[in-house]
Amino acid sequence: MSGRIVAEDWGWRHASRRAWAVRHLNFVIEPGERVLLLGASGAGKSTLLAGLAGVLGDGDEGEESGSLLIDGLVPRDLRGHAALVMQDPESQIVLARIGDEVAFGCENMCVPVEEIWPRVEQGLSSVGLALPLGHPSDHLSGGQQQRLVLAGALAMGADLLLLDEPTANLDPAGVHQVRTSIGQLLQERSNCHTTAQSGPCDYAQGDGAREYVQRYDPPRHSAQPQPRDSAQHPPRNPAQHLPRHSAQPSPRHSAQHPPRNPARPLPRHSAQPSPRHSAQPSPCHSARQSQNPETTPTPTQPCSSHTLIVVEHRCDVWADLVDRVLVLGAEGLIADGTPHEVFTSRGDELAAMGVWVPPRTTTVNSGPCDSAQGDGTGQCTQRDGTGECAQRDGTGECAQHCDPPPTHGSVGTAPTDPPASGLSARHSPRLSVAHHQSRHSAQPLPCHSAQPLPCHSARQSQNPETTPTPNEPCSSDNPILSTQDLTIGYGTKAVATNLFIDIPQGKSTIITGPNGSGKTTLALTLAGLLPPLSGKVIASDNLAGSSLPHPHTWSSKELLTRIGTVFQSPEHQFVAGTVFDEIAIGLKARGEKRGREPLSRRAHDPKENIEEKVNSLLDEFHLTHLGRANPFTLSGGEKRRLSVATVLAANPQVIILDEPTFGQDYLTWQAMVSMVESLRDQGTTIISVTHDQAYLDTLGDHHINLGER
Amino acid sequence: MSSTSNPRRLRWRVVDIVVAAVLGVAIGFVFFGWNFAGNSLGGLLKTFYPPLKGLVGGVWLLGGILGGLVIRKPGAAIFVEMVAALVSTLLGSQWGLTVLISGFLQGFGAELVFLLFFYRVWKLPVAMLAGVVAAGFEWVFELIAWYAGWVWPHKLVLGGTLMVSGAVLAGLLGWLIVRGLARTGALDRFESGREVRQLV
Repeated sequence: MSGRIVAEDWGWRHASRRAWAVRHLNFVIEPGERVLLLGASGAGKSTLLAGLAGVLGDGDEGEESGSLLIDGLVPRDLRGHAALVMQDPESQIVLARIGDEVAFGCENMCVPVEEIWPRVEQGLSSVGLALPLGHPSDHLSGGQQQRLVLAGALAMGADLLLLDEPTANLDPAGVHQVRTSIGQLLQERSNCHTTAQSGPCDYAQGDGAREYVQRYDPPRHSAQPQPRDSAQHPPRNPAQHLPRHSAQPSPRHSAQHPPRNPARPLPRHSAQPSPRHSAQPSPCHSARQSQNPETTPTPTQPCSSHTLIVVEHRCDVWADLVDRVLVLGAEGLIADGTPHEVFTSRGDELAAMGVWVPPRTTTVNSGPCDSAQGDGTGQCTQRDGTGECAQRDGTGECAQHCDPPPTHGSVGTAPTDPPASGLSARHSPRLSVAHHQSRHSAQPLPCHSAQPLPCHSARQSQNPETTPTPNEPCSSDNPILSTQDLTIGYGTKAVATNLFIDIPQGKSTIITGPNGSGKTTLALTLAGLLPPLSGKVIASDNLAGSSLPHPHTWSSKELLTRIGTVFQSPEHQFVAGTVFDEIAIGLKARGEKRGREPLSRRAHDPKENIEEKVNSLLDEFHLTHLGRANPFTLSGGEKRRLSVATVLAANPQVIILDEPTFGQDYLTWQAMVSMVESLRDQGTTIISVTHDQAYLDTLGDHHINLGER
Repeated sequence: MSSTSNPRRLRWRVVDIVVAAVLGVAIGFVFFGWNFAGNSLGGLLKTFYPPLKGLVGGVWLLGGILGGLVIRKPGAAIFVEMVAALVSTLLGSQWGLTVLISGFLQGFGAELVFLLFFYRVWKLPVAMLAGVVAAGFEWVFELIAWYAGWVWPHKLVLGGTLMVSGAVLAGLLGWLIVRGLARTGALDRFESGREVRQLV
């Protein structure tokens, strides 16, 4: 036994919704499969993961149809079997210090005390969170939170790894690191499988799984192997279905639990498993025993394999790691197959529905999304979504174009003509391809044109010497915001110091940098929401009007029309009870101000205008059907759209967007990018914090890299 | 309706426990405030006719009504009222520990009514009845603890005023508060919240 997932016409409707979040799902996921779960925003991906983790709740929380079973059991009764990394990492951090946080899962899995701390260290290092164990977990950036949560999930050693956009907030190096760590973990496990007969299986991560196997695999199973399983996975079977009790019955074990074994229901065969037993049996000693070499008969050690189910909009990160792609649609699965099959045969169809389909190239056999392999080495290869360049490095052909980047383009400045192709590509199904193709057509050199200046500036700025030096003047003559020897941080703790930054008016400025480098802090400081620790943020006269030129001294009403901020965590800015009201708030606040003088008109005009405006925004952001929903009940992608819409509604002169595109399907991405483009073209100054390379390519008029300072 | 068919509907979830506790603490602060405001008002009424002071008593019954109406699970009324009583006691009240006894009895009264309707009916009349019964229990306690020396007409009128107050200040007010809360979306994870907001 090791976790065969069977969905039969499964569906879930959240209690506050009329529509089903996900429905008519039919699939079987065998143990050890690595599945990439795709689907448009709001397709129910997170709901499915929550269902598999057993955290959807019961009848109070929603309505279930069909069945979703893991080895014949309801996931709710199998908690601990799955490690879930939720979309919003903040929502699953429970303890005050990061070491404790990672240890928490292990403790709940009854991992022996002496093994916990090594696991914690290993978990943290595998996600690259190099902070002391006592570091407060509420002093983490968004990306660091995501790493922390991942570390906890990895350390837990659960059989089933459920990752919901685990790299959405990570910097490119972090994405690479996390992907590699998970790849190694999966690799270890599959080695474990093939060598299970010959050697011991002593992985730090293995314990929970072993405990699980012990608990749920009654000896009988070896006597009656599952025909279905064995047919589908002949090589895995021997290891899987020979629980160690059967080969070497451990007398101690049976002595300790004489009454339990017979009484215990056989999960797979019994129609109605007793939830009590399966939910909380977890005798700690079983995990501990497995540590004891004497009681662990190595030859038949059942090394169950890690199953990975990952949701990620940008498939290229995981493409070389997964062996199967499931695409969720409104009424069941749209596609199911290997990445190659799915993307080549159904690509256009999927792209039209908003799925980020990786660019398909002529060299398909190397895998459609392999461009991710260049990932950590530099944004250049990663961003070359077509894979053309990165793939063929070896041949020298393409690498030639790509490799020695012409050093034109001074650092910090950006191509003055942002690719109009961003807009023209709007109706094309595949973003990156569309971009690149349109650029191809414009410029002869494919690789260069595919990677214009932002790539270089990003790369160069990793070189400390060429990092924008403090006094270097920026590209713009009339900065709308500028900083002078600015130190940013919270309380007394500085996150970044000596910042001299100019934000050019009417352009799109993009702030990038590694996790924890202070991007969000800088954005909040520029936005006037956080006072500088030292130094100044200076607004232009134009922006400041009659007020002091320092944004943090402005009232919120003044800020409303001057600088609007979209927070990294969308929930932090929701204040109303419905999506509609949420968007209307900014409009109302402005309307009241205007309506004060002509009292007679106030009752009619602004109100209707507001409704009209809100409806058009809802429409633009594909949120119309959710107008009356509570903002907190939206899906991750929907929340993000709503938070952007609320700020756009107030139409401030400067808009600051913190990770505006994470969690978005392709269609919304396009809509958002073109909206930002048109705002900029109308003269709004945009400041974005992002790791999204495609976004940087399209909107990086001006680029600030906070890394490597 | 799913609530009637779902066998687990009476089981407490984590969110129930947390929200009930938070509700209890919040109402505890309301009690604490009312200990001064309501008691002064009651003192004023008392100068006209002593049993009239019962008219302010309903506010102290809010916990049970709100707890029941929001959480809709067995024990919620008692729990919330008890937490509220405890908080107001810890903050300090002129009645000391007797507040805990009152709290239990008041919660019990409301609970009894919700039980009578099998935890299925949560309409305004039920809320008001819960207020009345809660007031009834409080009345009996007050007769023993504080007003043993009163003449019976006074005692009876006190009962009447208490119950009217319970129906209005606890039942009606509590019901309105729950509707208001539900409208904000704060109760979307509860049947009580979803009933008010339409599904979307």
